[in-house]
Amino acid sequence: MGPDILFAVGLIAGLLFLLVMGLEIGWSIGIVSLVGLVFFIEQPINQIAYTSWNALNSFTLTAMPLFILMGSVLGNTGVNEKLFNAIDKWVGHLPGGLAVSVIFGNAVFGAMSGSTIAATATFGKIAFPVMESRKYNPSFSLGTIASGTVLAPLIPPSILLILYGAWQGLSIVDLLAAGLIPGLMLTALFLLTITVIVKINPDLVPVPVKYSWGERKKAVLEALPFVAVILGVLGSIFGGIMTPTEAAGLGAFLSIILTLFYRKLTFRIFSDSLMDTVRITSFSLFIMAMSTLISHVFNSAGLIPLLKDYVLDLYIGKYTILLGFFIMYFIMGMFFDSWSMLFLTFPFVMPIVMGLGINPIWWGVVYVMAAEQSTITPPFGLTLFVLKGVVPQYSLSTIVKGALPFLIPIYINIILLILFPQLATWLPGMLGN
Amino acid sequence: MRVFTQVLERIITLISGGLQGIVICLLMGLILVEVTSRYLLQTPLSVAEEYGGYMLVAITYIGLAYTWKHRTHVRVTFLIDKFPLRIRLGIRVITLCLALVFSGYMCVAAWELVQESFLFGDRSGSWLRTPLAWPQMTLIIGAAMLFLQLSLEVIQAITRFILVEEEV
Repeated sequence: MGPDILFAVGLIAGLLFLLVMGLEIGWSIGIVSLVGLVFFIEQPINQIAYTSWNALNSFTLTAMPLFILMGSVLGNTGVNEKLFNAIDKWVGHLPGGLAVSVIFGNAVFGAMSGSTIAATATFGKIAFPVMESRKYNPSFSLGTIASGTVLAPLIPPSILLILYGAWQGLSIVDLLAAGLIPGLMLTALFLLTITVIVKINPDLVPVPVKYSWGERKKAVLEALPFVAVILGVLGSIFGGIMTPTEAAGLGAFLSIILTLFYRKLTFRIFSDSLMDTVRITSFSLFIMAMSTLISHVFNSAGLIPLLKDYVLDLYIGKYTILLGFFIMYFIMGMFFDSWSMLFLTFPFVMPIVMGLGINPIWWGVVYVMAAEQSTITPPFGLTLFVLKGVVPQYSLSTIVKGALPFLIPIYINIILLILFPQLATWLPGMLGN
Repeated sequence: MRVFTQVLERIITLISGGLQGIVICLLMGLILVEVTSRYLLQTPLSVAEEYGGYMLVAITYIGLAYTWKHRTHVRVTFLIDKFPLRIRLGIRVITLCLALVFSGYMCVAAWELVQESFLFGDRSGSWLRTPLAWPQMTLIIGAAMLFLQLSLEVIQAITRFILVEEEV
């Protein structure tokens, strides 16, 4: 082992040590990059600022805070609740009742927030109290809520896919389109799972409530303007009318106007939404900037090409390497969220993926699935812990027991994506970007 | 000392938090103006593409201190949570000091970048020909605010550590 490789191993070990010691992820990566910059590749420290400037000065990335603002305004003003109620009135009578509404709600909410953590917290707060009061089995209810949130980063506009695309220089429109069919497929698979579970054990749910047509129409009319904003934003992106950033700006603006019109938006809610946006943008993009820096250090030292050649020269096949990545994300998902995993691993993973000739658009969708499943996989999945924080009266094992059956449709979806990559690549091809 | 700390925290909240919230509103406004000029007036201004990027740098970097203050930066705590309180606080003092030193380097790095941009007269490639040193100053402001915030955090962490030591 040459001194360069020893030094690289030392840097990686240092990074893991800092992470385990509880130093914030962005700073852990930054400090290790600084050591590498000064002692390894001997470049001036102004590279920290230079890399940050180049990584962050991106018009494409500005879609991210604007989508977060749109989701925050709609979420903080209680529009989610309105949407959930409307969905429940239409689909709540199906086998599984409110569990079905949670899955549909996540599919729609995914289009508003695009973030798993936000979706978990929201549905934990909105749906669970209703399910609990109607005597749904707590484990089944919490398992549905935890697994349903996997839909948020798949169904457009996914903030995770925007981050990935802007960082790796890929078409955001293609990535967002690529997530749509797998997202809808997963929704269908989740619904099928609920039906099977309820058929096997009908005691898990009470008799579903059926609402009158009048109630349904009223609920739809209440939620319609907000759904129109979401569909308008997505339509303008996929229809090639606007860029994702322009659509995000317009979506955020329309959300503010609508919630103002319905007298839902107060100054307090607006300022809270803005501050949420500042915090999420700042924390995630700083990690991105630092990951770009560590990537620069390892690339300048020639280590990333070396790693790539080493892995490719193993001749173990594309799918074995992909399996290795899945196992890595499976383990990492116990400690990290999908955004952090993206930034921590992609400087090393992407060159290998590209070297294998894998379509980066397809890989983005597969990554989302692989990373998100790990966050609901026991014993340490992050989403499980977030939900436990929302419902502290229930044990983690109650949530885990409910979430386990939903891993099957997620794995089926991943296998289908691997067997039929067109599921992710067909729609972007049709859009002609 | 307490008054000084409170004033400093207030300044950080205002500039690193509140002001960046306003920048997000400006970003949204800029995009809307661009959309209007491009699609309705058929005369694109082509300003948003450049200034949107500068705003994003500002939100990210200047927002760091506020984000730190509100504990939004992700950290892994599964192992250190298992340690006794005294050791946990000791480790936190060390990791915060490391973060402080790094933010010091960030300040120096940003300063050098801006100096170079002034020296070589770097300008943007668009029709606006913006001197890059000015928007790059947001990196200095952000790193400096973070340095101040982390200085406060280090002082607070040391105080907590000493108090626990005295109790033991």
